[in-house]
Amino acid sequence: MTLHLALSLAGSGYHPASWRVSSLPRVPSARAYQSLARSAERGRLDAVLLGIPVEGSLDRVNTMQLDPLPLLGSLIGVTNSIGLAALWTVDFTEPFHIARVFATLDHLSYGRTAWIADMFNTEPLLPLIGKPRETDDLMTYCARAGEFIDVVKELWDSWEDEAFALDKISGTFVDPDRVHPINHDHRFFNVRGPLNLPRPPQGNSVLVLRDPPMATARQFVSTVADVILIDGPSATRCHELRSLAAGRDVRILANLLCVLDETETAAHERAAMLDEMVTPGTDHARFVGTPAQLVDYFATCQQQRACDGFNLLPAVLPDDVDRIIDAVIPLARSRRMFRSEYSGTTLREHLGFARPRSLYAGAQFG
Amino acid sequence: MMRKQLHLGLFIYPAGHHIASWRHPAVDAGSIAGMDYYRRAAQSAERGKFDLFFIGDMLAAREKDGRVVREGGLNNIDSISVTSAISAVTECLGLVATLSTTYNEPYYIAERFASLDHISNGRAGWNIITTANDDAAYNFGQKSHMEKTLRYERAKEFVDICTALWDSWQDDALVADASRGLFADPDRIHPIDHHGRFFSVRGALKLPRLPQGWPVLIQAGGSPSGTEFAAMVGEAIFAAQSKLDEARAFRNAVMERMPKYGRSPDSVKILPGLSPIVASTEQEARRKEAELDELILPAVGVWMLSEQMQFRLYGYDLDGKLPSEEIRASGQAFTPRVVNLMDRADREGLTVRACANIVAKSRSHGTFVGTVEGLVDYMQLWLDTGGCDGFNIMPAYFPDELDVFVDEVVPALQRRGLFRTEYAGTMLRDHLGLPYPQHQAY
Repeated sequence: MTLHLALSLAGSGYHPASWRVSSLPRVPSARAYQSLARSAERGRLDAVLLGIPVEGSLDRVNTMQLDPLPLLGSLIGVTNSIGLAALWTVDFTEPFHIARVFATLDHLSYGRTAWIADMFNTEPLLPLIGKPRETDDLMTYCARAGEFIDVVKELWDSWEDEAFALDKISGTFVDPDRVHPINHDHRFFNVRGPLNLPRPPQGNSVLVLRDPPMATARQFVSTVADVILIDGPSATRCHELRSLAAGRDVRILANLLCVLDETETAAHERAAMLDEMVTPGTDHARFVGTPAQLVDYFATCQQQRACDGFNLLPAVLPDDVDRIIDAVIPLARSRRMFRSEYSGTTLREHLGFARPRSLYAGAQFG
Repeated sequence: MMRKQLHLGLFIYPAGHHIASWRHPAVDAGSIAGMDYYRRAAQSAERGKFDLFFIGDMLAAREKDGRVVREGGLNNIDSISVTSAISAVTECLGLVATLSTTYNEPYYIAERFASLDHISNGRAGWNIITTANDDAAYNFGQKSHMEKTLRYERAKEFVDICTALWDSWQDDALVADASRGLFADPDRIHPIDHHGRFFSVRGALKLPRLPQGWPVLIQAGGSPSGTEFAAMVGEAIFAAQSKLDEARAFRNAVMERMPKYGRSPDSVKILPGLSPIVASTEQEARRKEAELDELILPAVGVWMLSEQMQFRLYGYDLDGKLPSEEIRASGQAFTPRVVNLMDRADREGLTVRACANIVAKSRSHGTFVGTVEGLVDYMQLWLDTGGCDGFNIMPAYFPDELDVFVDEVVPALQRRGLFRTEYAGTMLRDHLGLPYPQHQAY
């Protein structure tokens, strides 16, 4: 069983003190992120994840974030194969926007995108957006989020794969019989559709959800996500999520903050130095050690079925990314735990997912 | 003193601005949503030292009687995604994306353009639209599209919030002083605490001040409300006049209104759309034009004309005169483009088919068919007689016609001193000769 590895990029790294030692420019730099994404591609990672925040307060911590959607856009032209994921919440926005932006990004990248559908803990956005969330009741919230995702998928599917006909001779640019208004009119959303773009190369962008902070929402997350991010490897949590997914094909990736160095002592000294500068919260499971120890840890977690892979959160950019790509990946490869080449061109292929059929495939017009 | 020079935008459109462009043998229509298509166009424009790359936005599929139009008319893909993608494969080209103030929230839009400006090192422009097509409403859970006056009131408040958010960090707020452990200085970051008719936004932005201060604010079109709005906030205007006297009148109308908003009339650049077809001889250019026009399906032209005029022309004789009296009597609020076309039809006795062809060929922006030198004369005349500050170039089809412009027209313009030979700066404000917004005092 192959390991799946994603790399999250934000700020100057995921340790709250990262900016004190990082060589990245202080002002958010797309060039720096482009270089990191190319490194990740050189390591043949599954995907780069954008928008997962660094926690803390701005006076002490670099929590600055470029909007993950244009940031994802800026990585498309400088990479060829790696998956590109961006976080955007289901709150304070409309499904049509999400469907249109991710369809665009998926077309531009020839099928390499994932949407990290952020939900639940979106309260910090309230004063910025200036309007209340639809609901704060958890079950109602899940019902709305589920319907939001349904609408997005209906819009992505509203053009069948054959709809973009391009028959120059007959003059049929689009086959109207294969483009379907979705006429969605349920509890929370009323959207006519269709989307104004052909079906994306992946059919649907990969849908990434975070394991919810409250157990009661876990059922919901398991029934819609393609990829679930859990906080640190956990066989118990994996088993629970898989049971709730009830046979759906999901990948479970464990978030892991990485502080790496050549020797175990050096790694612990580095971690201690960073912790002394800014005391970290308890947001993320963390690994401190050598690249070889990290590969051992991967193997142990795999044996214990504690995850299908990892979402690596480098403590400091670019240092920990360099160690992951230049040391961890070659070791994982030498132990046949990780790919040497991509076997496909889309993120779905990297993750081992089939391309979904359009909900409307073969449907009559109307 | 150096003579006044032209500003040039590349107005991108899937396959090309000629409606039948996708049927042209040289066009690979299947490629129009992928990165390679946009990279190629943007890099050509940068090779030609264009000021900017511009892409529009629509929030509903193009339909006729409830079905997607068979014969053409794919919408643009999302404009922020395209411009951010292009930022990574160009160095100097300005990047203008289009987002609607009617169907978005100001914080998100302020953040998105702040990010585009940071990502591109100061090359972002925002084409501010209120969305004109009614169909968009049905994709956003609304029963009907917001009425025009209200849309522009909302747009005004929307833009005010965005500019306040872009000013919410003082230039020196990002301290990053390791010795004090101070990353950003909260005393130099200011919540905006906006409470207005449409929005309540506390702020502040989560990003430092933009390389350009604000993205260049751009307005398109020229209805009375639009003209007023352009005079109030527009730093560049994408105009649609196809006749020199009309263009001059529009430009004067905008500039006359600017002082009442405390703005100097020279702080706006007006760029009408221009779709050129050029060749080494007049005859060859006409042949190229005819080759394209032959690809237009009659149904397409009549559909586009009916949409623009909000008047169903499907039953009318294609070779009869445009029924402009009936159209006028239908009492719709016509856009200036439509009014211009009806006036021209009356003046020249144009048929429905002729009008349909005009719309289909250029989407009723200006066109020029002739030699390179003829086009340069035409552009110089418009520039020197106050018709414009430059043009938004609308190639008939991509990429060939853009390359013709870049490789033949641009050098001819440069030989006459009408266009730059090198970029003078790296930011869009430098190219357009626009001032950098000064930070408001705290």
